[in-house]
Amino acid sequence: MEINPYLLAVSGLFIVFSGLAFLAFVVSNIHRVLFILENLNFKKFKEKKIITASFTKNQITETKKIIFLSKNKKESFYLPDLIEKSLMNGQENPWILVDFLIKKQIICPDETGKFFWNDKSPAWKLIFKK
Amino acid sequence: MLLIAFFFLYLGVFKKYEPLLLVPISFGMIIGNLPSPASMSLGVYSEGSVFYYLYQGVSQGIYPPLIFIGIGAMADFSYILSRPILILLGAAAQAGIFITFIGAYFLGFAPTESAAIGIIGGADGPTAIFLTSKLAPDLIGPIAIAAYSYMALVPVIQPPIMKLLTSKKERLITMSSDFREISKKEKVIFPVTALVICCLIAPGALPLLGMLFFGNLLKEAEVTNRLAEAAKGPLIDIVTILLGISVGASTQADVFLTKKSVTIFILGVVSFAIATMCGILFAKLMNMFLKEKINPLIGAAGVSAVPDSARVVQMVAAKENPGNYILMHAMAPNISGVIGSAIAAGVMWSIIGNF
Repeated sequence: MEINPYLLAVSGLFIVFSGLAFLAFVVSNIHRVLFILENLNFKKFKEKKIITASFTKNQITETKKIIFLSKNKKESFYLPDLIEKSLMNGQENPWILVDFLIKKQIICPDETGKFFWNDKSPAWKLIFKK
Repeated sequence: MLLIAFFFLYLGVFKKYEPLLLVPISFGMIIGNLPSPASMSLGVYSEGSVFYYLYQGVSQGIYPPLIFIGIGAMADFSYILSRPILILLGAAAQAGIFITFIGAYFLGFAPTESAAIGIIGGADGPTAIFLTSKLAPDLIGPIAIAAYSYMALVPVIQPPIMKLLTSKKERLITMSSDFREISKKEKVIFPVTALVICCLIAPGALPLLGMLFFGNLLKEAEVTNRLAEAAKGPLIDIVTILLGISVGASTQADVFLTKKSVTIFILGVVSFAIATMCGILFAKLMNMFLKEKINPLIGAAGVSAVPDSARVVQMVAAKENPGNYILMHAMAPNISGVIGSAIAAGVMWSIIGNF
């Protein structure tokens, strides 16, 4: 097959040029796409999904009971006290539940080593919704 | 050939023209051209010799992609991420490849040989060797020597062309140093995105660009620092030594000193000059449409001799105004030139390789 050098050179250069021009277009928009994605806040959405999925009915009931046990939600407490109270009230697995509360940041440690009920935890909403 | 080898050695050692390339190549030329008994197989073309096996990395196109990993690990793509429009200069400079292809074809070279000769204009040694190993393996010696010599001679070849095509007023143009800050995410996304785009356009460029962007990802990911350090240090050094020595040793006088080789050298320098011209002229064309003017000298960095070409651009600009820093701006077309010449090689291989 006979080769047409002009056609080949022109088409070759066209491919290189259009390819790099397309690359330039994509590159100039990467940060814009990232900005949009970051503002969609997929992170929050994902967290909400995990919380909803990981809460069992039993865990919700037990959390409510523990909250009921702590007379004043504003008062900070030591973890063993909370566990003891839970045990005395017939909770079967207070350690697992406490671990769960810490992971969901429903209870958080302060500088003194005591824990406090964290009103800002997104998990609260889900507990009381259910 | 020995005289040429000594001359190259002199240029490398005393004139410091690309010593990392010219010293191994010139020493390889001495090795390849010393007389040896015909009964013993010693040279690169004698099957079974040590040099024969080292040369397989060149003739099979193995060394160039390995060098590209190192280049990728050293390259900083943030210049093109902050000024993407300058990528076009890297594309414009590739015109030299295709124009020389036409010239070589009409001088009687086969289409495959013409493509391999044209790629010298990309001023990218590894790309030239890679494409030649695929299209015209017989010409690897002269094309590799021409490509690496012209890469080394960037400070000699480019400045007169730059001065010829630009006015003093143009050379004095200053460019804003206000670069956009590039996030880590962008730097990580870029090599993956660019690889997909480039290899959809020119699948033949995959061995080179795949390694280039992989090397860059190793660097930008920041979790593979050991691998990145190995790629830009020991790996690229070892491969450069092996490539330089074996390419040099392939220039045996009976194979190398032919009319064809001389023509290749002439066409190579023409290709390189045209590439430089096209980059500068395209920068001037862009200035007709851009609000914020660019210094047309940076168009010359569109050839992919990284970072020498960008350094030469800075040198020429600084001669007119020592306070004019355009090195960072020149790095953008320079790095996109590497991508452009690899795409051009891929295009040539895909089209002509099928004829």
